[in-house]
Amino acid sequence: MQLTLDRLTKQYGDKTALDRIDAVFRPGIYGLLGANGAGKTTLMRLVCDILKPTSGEVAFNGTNIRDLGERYRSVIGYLPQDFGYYPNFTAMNFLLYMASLKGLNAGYAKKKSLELLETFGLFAVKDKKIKTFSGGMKRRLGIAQTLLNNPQILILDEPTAGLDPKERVKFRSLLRSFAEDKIVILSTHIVTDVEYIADEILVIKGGTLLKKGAESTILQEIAGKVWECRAAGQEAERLETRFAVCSRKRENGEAVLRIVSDEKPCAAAVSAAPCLEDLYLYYFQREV
Amino acid sequence: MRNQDRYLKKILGTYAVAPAGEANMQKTISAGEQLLMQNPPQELRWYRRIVNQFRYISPLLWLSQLLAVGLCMLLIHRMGNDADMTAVLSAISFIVALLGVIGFPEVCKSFSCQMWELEQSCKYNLRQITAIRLSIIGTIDLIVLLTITLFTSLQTKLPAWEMALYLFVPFNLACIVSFFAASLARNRNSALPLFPAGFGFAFLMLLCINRFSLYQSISIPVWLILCFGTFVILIWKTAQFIKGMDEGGLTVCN
Repeated sequence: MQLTLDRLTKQYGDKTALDRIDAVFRPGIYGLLGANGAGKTTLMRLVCDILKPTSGEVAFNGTNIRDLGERYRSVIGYLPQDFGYYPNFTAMNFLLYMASLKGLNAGYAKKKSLELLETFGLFAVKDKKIKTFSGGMKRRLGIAQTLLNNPQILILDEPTAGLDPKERVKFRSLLRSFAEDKIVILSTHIVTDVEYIADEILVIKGGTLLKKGAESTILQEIAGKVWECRAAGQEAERLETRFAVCSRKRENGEAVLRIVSDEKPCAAAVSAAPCLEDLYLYYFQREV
Repeated sequence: MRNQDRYLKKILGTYAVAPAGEANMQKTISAGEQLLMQNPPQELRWYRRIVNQFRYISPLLWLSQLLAVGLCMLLIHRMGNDADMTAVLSAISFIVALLGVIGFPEVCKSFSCQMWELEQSCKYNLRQITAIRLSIIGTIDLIVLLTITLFTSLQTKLPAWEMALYLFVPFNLACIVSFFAASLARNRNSALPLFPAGFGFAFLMLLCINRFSLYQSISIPVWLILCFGTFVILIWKTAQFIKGMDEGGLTVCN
């Protein structure tokens, strides 16, 4: 199974949202990293056949998804960033409605819906209207509907937004168990989620794909550019205005700063092992 | 295919198979069930898709249609009691024009409830869903309209085709106005412009019919042309609307 993006470009009038993206996805979990407006959602909409590309193509097992049409859409599960719902639907009704749009027969849909409601801890509220749900519950329902048709490709736009830490941990393990033999593409602003579950990371900036690879590979890019230093008072403030500071905490009356910079920020700075948050800051410090 | 089935059955009939144990049968059944759960068949027949959409259309819409029919029947009944025929007919036209408007929030609910993106990613996507919704609501409207036409024609002793002209023209025009308003609603993810536009138009229609005595001042050939013209525009707008669903995301993203 292979999903290929070939010189994928999307323009809205004069604005280029995505510019000649090339990537190949095989079974595994892929995390999209990028600031707001980087093109992540547009990329996901193109992969889901929601939008038509301006040029280039998305191919599933070598065939353009526009040609596959229904056959392609029946193997995907998608959770949009702005997850909408019909407010008068109950959780169960919503899943049955989505199942009907996915072409699933009533018997299977009912069985699978109940199973998913149980998995996502919504069984007790299955007959309650969605408009009474909390943000986290709505999100869980959104994730549940993606799994109705046992999709081969799962595309999740900000799946963990609104989930509490416990729910996020549960979601991560669930995704890991589900992702075997499947292509999972997810975007999130919560860098640790990507860090914990993604096999490969794609960094998107200004509509172009900057990096694609395993975490260890792409972190090589900023090896030797992450620094930790102790500074007091004005010196700490000076460093904060001059450099991209990842974190700042107080220890023994001094500020301990974690800085991402090409050059050594101060004489006392010591090199530190980079993490994904450092990488995010390195690429998107202007946008943060 | 049937011959092949018969041939296979014949071949299989020659084999003697020892009866399987209960445990083995259960094992096979549960393995089959598991396989089905992993690879669910994803194909629904057309009528099943229509029934599915029908089930999820708000009952409020059917209630308002029923109310409209009830009101029209009441007005038709009053015609027999020496009421001003033009006034009653214009009131019926007003209700008929409203009939064309009240279905639109239901057609546009994917956008007003932010469901368009999710629905567009499904096997039966937004375009198909919208086409089915429009067909259901359109068919019901047509039946209601024909019923009203028939009863009005019986009461007024006018030919049914002539009465159809008087009722279909305002209905078609209200639908055309609603389609324009729906495009606006789609761009704004809200069904808000629909009702003011539709109701406003229907009310304007009511005023014009009464003020300018349109039934008398416009000749039948002109009504015919109007009816044909509005039908053509309505069909064109419907096709455009359904076609535009593929670009639904685009309009919202822009």
